[in-house]
Amino acid sequence: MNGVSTEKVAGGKLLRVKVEFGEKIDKVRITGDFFAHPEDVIEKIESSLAGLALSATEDEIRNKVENVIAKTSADIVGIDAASIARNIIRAIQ
Amino acid sequence: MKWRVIPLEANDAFMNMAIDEAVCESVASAKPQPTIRFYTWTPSAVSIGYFQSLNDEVDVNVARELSVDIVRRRTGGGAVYHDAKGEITYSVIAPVSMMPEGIRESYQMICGWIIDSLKNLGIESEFKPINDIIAGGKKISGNAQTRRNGVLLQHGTLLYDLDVRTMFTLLKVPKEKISDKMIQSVEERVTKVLNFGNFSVQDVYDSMLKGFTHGKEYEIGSLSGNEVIRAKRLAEERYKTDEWNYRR
Repeated sequence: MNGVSTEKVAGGKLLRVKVEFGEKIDKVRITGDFFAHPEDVIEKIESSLAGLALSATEDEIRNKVENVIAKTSADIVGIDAASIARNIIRAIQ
Repeated sequence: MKWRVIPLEANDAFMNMAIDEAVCESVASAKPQPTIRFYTWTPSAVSIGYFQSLNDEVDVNVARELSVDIVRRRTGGGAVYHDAKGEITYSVIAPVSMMPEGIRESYQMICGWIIDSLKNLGIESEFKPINDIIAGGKKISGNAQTRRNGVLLQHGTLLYDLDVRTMFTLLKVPKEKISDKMIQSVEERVTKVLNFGNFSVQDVYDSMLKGFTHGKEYEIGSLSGNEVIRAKRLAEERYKTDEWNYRR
């Protein structure tokens, strides 16, 4: 199945999350008009979420995203771990 | 450090983005020369942000009909319609050590040069975080920044004229929303230099040159032979390719 969730993050930018899922999350695509560098942090976040159980909570997803951001010392402007997690949950509902 | 200023020139979308990257590579080298360049887009083009989906943002068929190029930028931000005669774009490419560490602060600094440029035309404007400049309460300039290999790249546009109808046929807004009401509402949010006086493109460029170079040691220069060769290669091998432009 495919799910999409779009949000104009308050005080930030547009975030669109597309999720392919079956019994688990197969693929996540994060797009929008936000800023992030190094840019590959977004691909790393996407990879880190593939394979996640559909039962994962918003907090678990947010923690996973925060860990990737911290590990890559990335600067992300306009979206954040919380908005990514929130929209993944919405996309798979 | 002495700045190199590359005067206003017109290129296609692919070369414009490739030149920025080629210059970033030379600024990352052992003997960096921070660079400011000014350019327009011929033919007109749409650039999309690094993280955007091309198919979500642009009506590719309309772009083809209108002979408008489409290119993905190395910077984030939104989709922009670059009318060949409707704006002047700048790029600032410099070692990060010359710029404020914070992203917002560095946006504010470079956007300050645009504010100064507009002031040279008698137009009052202000920085609107994250990355816009507004004049008379409406957006007149959008800007995008990235940092890689110790080099900051910020590019942005100063709207000189604006063809809202063409912009909306290219950018993917549901067709039913492209009504006069919608166009009116965009015109309420966006403005252009021509709304403030009968300025020529040369007037605007002269004011930008002055605004961007004020207080700096600089020389008028051009791309090196190596940068030109590298840019042509990047244009062919990256910016013109579907692999790059449709990667999201």
